[in-house]
Amino acid sequence: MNNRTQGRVRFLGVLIPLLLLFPAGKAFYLQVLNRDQLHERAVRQNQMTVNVQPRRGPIVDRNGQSLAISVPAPSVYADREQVREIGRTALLLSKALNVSRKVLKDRLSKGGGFVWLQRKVTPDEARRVQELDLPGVGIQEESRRYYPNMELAGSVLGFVGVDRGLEGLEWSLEDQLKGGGGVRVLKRDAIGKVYSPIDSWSHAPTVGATVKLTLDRNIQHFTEQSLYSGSRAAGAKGGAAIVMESSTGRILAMASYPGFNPNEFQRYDSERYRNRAVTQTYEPGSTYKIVTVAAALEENLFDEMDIFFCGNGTFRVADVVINDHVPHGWLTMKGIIQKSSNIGASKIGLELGRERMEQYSRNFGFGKKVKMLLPGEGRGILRDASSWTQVDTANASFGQGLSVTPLQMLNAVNSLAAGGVVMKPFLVDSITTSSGKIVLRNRPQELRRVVSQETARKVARMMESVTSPGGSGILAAIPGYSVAGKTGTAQKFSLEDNMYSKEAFVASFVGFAPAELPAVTAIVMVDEPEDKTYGGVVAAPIWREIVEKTLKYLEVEPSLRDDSFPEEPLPGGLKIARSRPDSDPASEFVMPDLMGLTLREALKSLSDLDCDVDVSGTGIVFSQSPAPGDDVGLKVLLGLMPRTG
Amino acid sequence: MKKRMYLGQMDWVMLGTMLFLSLVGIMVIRSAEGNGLSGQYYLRQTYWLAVALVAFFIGYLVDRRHLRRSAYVLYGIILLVLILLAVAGKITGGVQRWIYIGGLTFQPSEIGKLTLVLCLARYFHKLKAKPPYSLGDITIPVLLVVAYIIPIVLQPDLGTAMFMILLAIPIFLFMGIRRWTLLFTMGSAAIGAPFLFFSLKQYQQDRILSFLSPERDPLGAGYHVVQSKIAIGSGGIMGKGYFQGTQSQLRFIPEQHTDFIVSVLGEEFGFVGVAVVLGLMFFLTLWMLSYLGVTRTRFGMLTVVGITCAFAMQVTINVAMTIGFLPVVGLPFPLLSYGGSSLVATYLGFGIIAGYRRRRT
Repeated sequence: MNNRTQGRVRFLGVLIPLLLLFPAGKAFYLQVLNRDQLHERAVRQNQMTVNVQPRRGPIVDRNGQSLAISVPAPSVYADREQVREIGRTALLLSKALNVSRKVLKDRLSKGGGFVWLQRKVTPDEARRVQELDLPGVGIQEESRRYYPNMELAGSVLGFVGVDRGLEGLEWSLEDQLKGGGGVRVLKRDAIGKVYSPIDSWSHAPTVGATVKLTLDRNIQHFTEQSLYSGSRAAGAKGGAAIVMESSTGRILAMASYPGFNPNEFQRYDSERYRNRAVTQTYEPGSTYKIVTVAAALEENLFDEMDIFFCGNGTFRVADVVINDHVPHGWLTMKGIIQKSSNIGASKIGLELGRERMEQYSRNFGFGKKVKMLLPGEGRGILRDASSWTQVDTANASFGQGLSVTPLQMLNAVNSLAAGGVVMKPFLVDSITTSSGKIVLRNRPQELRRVVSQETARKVARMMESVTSPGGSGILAAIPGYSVAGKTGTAQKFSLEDNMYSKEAFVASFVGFAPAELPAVTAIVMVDEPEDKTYGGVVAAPIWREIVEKTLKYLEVEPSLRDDSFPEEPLPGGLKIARSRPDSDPASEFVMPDLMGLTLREALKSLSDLDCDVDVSGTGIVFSQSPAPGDDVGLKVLLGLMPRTG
Repeated sequence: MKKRMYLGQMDWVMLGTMLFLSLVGIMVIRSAEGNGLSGQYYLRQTYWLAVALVAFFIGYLVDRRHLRRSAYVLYGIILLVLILLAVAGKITGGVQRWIYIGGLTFQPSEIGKLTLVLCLARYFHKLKAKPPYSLGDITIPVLLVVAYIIPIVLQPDLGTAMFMILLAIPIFLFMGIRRWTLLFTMGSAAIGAPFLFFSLKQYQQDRILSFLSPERDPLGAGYHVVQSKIAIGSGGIMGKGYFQGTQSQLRFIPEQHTDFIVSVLGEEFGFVGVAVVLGLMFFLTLWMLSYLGVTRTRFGMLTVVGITCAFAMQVTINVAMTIGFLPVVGLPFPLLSYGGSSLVATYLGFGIIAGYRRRRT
């Protein structure tokens, strides 16, 4: 090898390494110096982030029966950077989803990246979309709210819009129910096909908390049934009923007429969403006499056997004449309550005076919100006593010139059932997160004592006479149980005419049973019944129906001290047994609990019952009518739902 | 005794390094196929590796004189095949780069790179004139190169054609060319380039243009390069892990098992992986250059220079191509890219070099 050749070899020995240094240098530049920027570009290309709605927590009744559940609902989205032909995509999707092509086109052409095309579609629609296999279009499983009992407790539960609770408890407990949103990172490849790897959750959604109510689905059911049929029969504009556990303040049922089916809330006028049990304020009328009498007894102004002259049906206070609808002559205090004499109540009220009248009213809970998580709660009107005239005081003593909500009235009367103590009413029993942590547990809470136990007992006895022969609320009497109650018939004040209306009334009945050891307190209010207007005629029968069923359902011991109806035997024990959900399975006329069964299993358990079965849907049973434990009628309705993963 | 003579001086370092790189290649091909493509390229590459090993030993064992004497014949055979392919391509109207042997395809131009080196080495070996050479001295070897290029351009395979020219240059320069001859040749190439450009097919022109400004149209012709850069760069220092490369697994990189295998390597094994592979190639190159001190003939020396430079240039050009320094012309990354012809040719060439150490004693 000569020198020249050696020189060239050395030259090659330098040149070739330099040549190879170039790619190494470039790799260093890209991978070390420019890594972050290029990585970001890679992520932008191959990932798509989807915010996934969490599954809403269920609402259950006090026995754990579902009132509101969330069922899977697929939603269709598009990744607009990957959609190829907007026009064609919109056209095909509009056919598959039954959405206008223009709307889809708008959604597809505005901006870039992720967009929901249609939320919460049916499984069929989702399948059709999947079959189209359009680039950039995908399906994300979401959930939809479902109310398996349809109308039941609708005005308490409210409903959920696309993203959040809009009414009722769904609205007020939004934060607890909604759960934690998830973030899902989907992969997409070079041609825009989107993959959802199993580990695609960068942040998994958490199911919302379970809200357990104090409501009892069965009590709620017959409360609604009675209120609805009673209100309908009376041709009423509206109505409300509440059933409360007397000793604790637990709300067992709360109904509002007319109700609505939250599954189809869009179909109703928003007026229908109102929960009249807490939102409607009305002049209570005679039911308020309980407050007047309780106050007077507590103040030792009178004894229950003191007598009052209620004259010939008219009584002049200042320049106003107060009427009773019939002349009562002389009445004891008990008689004033039993016959519901306005004149008698006025005399007691005037003796009591406006300050004490106001003070007791406030102590009983009037004039301020109960605050029970229900939206739109009414406060009622209770003016300062300092502005009251004699007439105002007299009016207030029989429930005019002030207004209350059904819940306030119920809770005030319940304090007499609870021995003179105002309990805090509550609707939510507990809230448990999906991880099992109890974040709220409500226990019965005594707010304050308004009257002594002795006074409470005396008033209760007077109220018992209301449902005795000769009382204004005889129609509320329940065979076998002593009932303490009070009727109320109040003229509605017409703002148009600036005077009390001759036609528009609010009929109500409030009370508790059994009178001597109260188990439940309930109120029924019927707004503007058509022809029969008296509380004792319109509201009392509804009240009786509700409370009778409730007492039997709760297996409350019939009153032993039943002197009103001594000749009647105790009502059939069989019936009590039959209306209990966990009754003897051999009982052949009781509707079994079919929830969660397949259709085949459900039909098998109904096979002995000799009834027609009407089935809708496929999958497993999620709704049934009659409810478990109810009597089987001639027809059984079953709603089926696809089994969820 | 005889056996020892044949295999005792086997260059295990060279062969081991090559095998290691080939296995890395098969591994990356496996990943590049991902779960979508079920071409089983990695398996086929494994079979080809076995064939390539045989080729290596043939190159290693073949008698140097026989090799030298048959250089023209080999050149001629490949030229004939290339012309036949070009003609067949004209008739059927499609691209003809491969010949089919059984179920396997073979790309004769890959072997052509080797036979061209051998042929040029053979020519200069016997050339009577003393270097540096004049224009007249190099007319015949230039024509030998041009004879290969024409059918390859007609295939059309621009990348390989250009590479044939680059391949010849070190051999010419190593022998020595007169200054004016050199200037004249380069000048006429510069003038001829535009003509060549406009004689290209539209897609080839597009590739060259998009190379000049790849970001201008990221979904068009420059797409490959942009995606390749993103893949390599996003791998970072340590890489995303085997089978974890998002860009390659989601098929953002085109031709990822062949020309763009470095993109997959870079994405999944990071700068560390790229540096190890390039480091080994760097080592292989220097290792082969050390054979220049062993060869005793001009033919041997030029063979070593030609093969080594071809290897190094191919590595550089492929990487330059995948990261946007050169137009995407379709040149495999030696040893790693999928492709039997390239693998066999590379092993054969390296085997020939390794054979020179066998002769020494």
